[in-house]
Amino acid sequence: MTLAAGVLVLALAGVVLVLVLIVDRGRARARVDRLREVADRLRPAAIDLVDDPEVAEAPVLTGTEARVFAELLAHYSRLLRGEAEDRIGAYFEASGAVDHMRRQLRSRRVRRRVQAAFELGDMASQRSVPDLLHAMADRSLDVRAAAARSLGRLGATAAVEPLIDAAIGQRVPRSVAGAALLEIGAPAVPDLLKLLDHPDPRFRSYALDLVGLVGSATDADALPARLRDPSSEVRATAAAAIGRLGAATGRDALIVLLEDRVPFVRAAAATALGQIGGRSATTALLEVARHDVFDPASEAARALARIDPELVFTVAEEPDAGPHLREAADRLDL
Amino acid sequence: MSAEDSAPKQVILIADDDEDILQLVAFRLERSGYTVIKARDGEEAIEAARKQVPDLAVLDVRMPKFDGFEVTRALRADEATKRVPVILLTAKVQDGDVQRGFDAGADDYVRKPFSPQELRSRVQAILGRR
Amino acid sequence: MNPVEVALVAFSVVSFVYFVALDILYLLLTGLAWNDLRQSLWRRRYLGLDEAFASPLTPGISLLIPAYNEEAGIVESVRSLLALRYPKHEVVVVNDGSTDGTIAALVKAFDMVPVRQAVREGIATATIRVAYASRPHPNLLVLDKENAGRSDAVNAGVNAARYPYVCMIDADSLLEHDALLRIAKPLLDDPENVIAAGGTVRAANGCRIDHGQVLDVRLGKSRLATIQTLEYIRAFLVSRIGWSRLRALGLISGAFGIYDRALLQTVGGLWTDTVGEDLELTLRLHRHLRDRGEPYKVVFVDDAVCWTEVPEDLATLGKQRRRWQRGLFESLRRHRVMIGNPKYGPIGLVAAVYFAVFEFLSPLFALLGLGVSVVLWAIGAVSTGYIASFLAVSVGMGVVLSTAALAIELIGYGRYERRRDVGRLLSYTVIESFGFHQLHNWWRFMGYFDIFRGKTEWGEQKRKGLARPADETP
Repeated sequence: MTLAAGVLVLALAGVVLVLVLIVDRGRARARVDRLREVADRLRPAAIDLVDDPEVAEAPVLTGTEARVFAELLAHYSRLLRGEAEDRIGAYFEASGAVDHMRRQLRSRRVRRRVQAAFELGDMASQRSVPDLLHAMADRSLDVRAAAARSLGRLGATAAVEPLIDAAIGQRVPRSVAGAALLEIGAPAVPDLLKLLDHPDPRFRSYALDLVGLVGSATDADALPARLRDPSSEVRATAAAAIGRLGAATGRDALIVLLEDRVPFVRAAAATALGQIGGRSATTALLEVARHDVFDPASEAARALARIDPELVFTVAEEPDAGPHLREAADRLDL
Repeated sequence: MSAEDSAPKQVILIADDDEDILQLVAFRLERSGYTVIKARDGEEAIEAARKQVPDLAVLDVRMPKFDGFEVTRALRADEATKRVPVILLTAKVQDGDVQRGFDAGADDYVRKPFSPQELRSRVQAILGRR
Repeated sequence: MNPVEVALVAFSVVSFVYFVALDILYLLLTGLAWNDLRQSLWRRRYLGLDEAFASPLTPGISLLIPAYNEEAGIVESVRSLLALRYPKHEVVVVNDGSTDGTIAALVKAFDMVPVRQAVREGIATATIRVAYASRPHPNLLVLDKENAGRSDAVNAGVNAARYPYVCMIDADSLLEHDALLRIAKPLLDDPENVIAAGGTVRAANGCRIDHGQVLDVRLGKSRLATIQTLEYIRAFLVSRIGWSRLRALGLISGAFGIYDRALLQTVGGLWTDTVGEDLELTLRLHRHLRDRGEPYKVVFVDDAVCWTEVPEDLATLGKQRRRWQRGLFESLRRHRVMIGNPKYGPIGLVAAVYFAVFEFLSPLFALLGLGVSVVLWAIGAVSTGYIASFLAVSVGMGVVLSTAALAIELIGYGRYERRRDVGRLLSYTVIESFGFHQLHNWWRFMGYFDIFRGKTEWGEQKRKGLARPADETP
């Protein structure tokens, strides 16, 4: 009986809880509507501020209005770059929001620190870079990841080394650090090139991946050596990077790589050859497209379609063409 | 060539599902003296272009219903809108995207995040060219 | 008391204890879900999805859509999938020998032409008759395959997929705009360990839908759909989160899940001879990786949401639940070695045991236990206090668990905007205990007979509601 009574009391409590939440949600919704109203009212002023060089003065706002205005600008800073972003940074510095968030980075509460580390990235102020670099050593992963993201958003060249270290030390997800390094762009390349000799193949291929995305053709000189790396993963990412950079100096080494013993390396080499172009690769690619296993053959056929469409149309109708050349020919027709 | 001195204002169609981008782009172009028509998805964009043929269209690549490529192609397929210049707004990082845009018939593209000043000068460059 | 009575009383007490144990387990899961919500709610603002969307490091995903007679909705569904917020994805529709104009509709809408598509031979499937590529959409592929069931169609899609991850969804399901990005986030952050992820499935009945997007979340008029809405909330927002916290996520729903493609090919794709293919696959992946001692993670992503139509008539729902019961049995039989086996960690010791002892056997105890107890009370063999406790526990705990789940939905997700809808869901936390639960258990009980009869064909069910909420409160 006590059990039954206990259960029924609990059930009643559950029902009351839901009822309370229903009422509460009504209030929450009204609040959201109010905020939206404020945002609509402030939007022209926000656009003025980011867009019009003649509007030097930001509106003087307090309380809710100031918060909503800041949120609008933070959002704009993600959509815009150039002068507009500089003006957003200047506003946040002048309003004291940047310094406030810098202090919050040292709060004892994780939630506060995460918020600060994240929001500083949208405030477009270089002033916060040293604090964010410091936050890269925070004991909470969320804070470190948010700081990494913000450093990328700010294009902080000083963050290149710490970001690479954090990725290698697995203190920040590699995708997060990588995206930040890509945002920083070309200044990250020298440090990434140093990583090409790291003993762990995972980090060599990580560096290659990023160099391929932000490097320039001149950075490609260091890459062909990696096509002979003992790790297959590194060989494949090296091929991909060379392809993306369109570095013709790697062509001969890539043709050799078409005979690698690992299929996904051959596939990456074929893709890269397609990106670089040049007829000297066609014979080797044809061989792969006709006879290799699925992924390399498919990539080789696609590469050939880029290099020499006419050739693909011709060979696709030959009896030994194989499925990949036929597919490539049909797709060229689209 | 500037838009201010021509009596009937030049009309620019902007399509983006992000209200803030729509506002930012529209504001900048309106201030530069253009008349702006806004659309919030691909379908609206095509309808708006049929109703009033714009002098130029700025289209987001990723939109609900019809994407920027499809809208471009639809504009090109229609005799009335065939020659409307198109600038695509692309947030994508994929290599093929720009190529796809040009294949569909776009005249130029602007990457997001974008600079309003840059977008305006692209618009002026295209409208000035004609 | 005669021996028969003694045995019956014993059975009644055992089933009472059984349900108390089950309820304690659910309370534990609820507690874990609350705790998880407390920690994850504020973090959602800081996920960095914008950066993931903009990053070229984000891996490609192939969306696989098996389609059988989906002429009516397939075009809008594909259009909305192509427009999902994800940087690199393709849509592969596998037509499973439809007898309607599914293919014609796709060909017309997307300007598709036949191509001689090369497809991996990895997993054996029925013959692909024609492949179509779209002129304007390089990221759309349609395979026209001979009819061989949903699993076979998905397997053909796996063979044809271009990207390293595949995401399975149903043709009549809708993904929220950023659902793909959210479900993929764990594997962006930890690509070396995460091999599969499941998302939340919700009932779309009654929602206002336009062009493949849920615009306005509402409850429909159908009572049956309302009950299922509540079921899905409980199953996904409480049980899955709880299981995931225990590192014992034994099921990724077939309606919305993402997998490492190479791994799927290694294990042979979906098993086509079962009606519980999603559960079977999840167990098989766990088993495969545990056997090899490889580190891995299977995760649940609560805020990646897929909306699906659930059955609104008793016959279809009944068939679905019977099928699930049979699928559960088939999966457990194939992986019986995992049940209670410490070698398989929390999956073997907790999840598999739960599936076998509670999920599979509960209809037996629910129907017989309740029936027997009432009879015993009628003949005066047990006291009124006993029977009251029995009823209070079975109904009261149902309310406790459902209201807790509803509270979690309101605080953490708040998809239902209208008070009236939430009020209705609240009333159904009580109503479902009278009639529906018994009926539900009856269907699942009938599932036992299907097992004995060795039914293996898919049945004539309408292709609705392949999403299984599972983890049912009896």
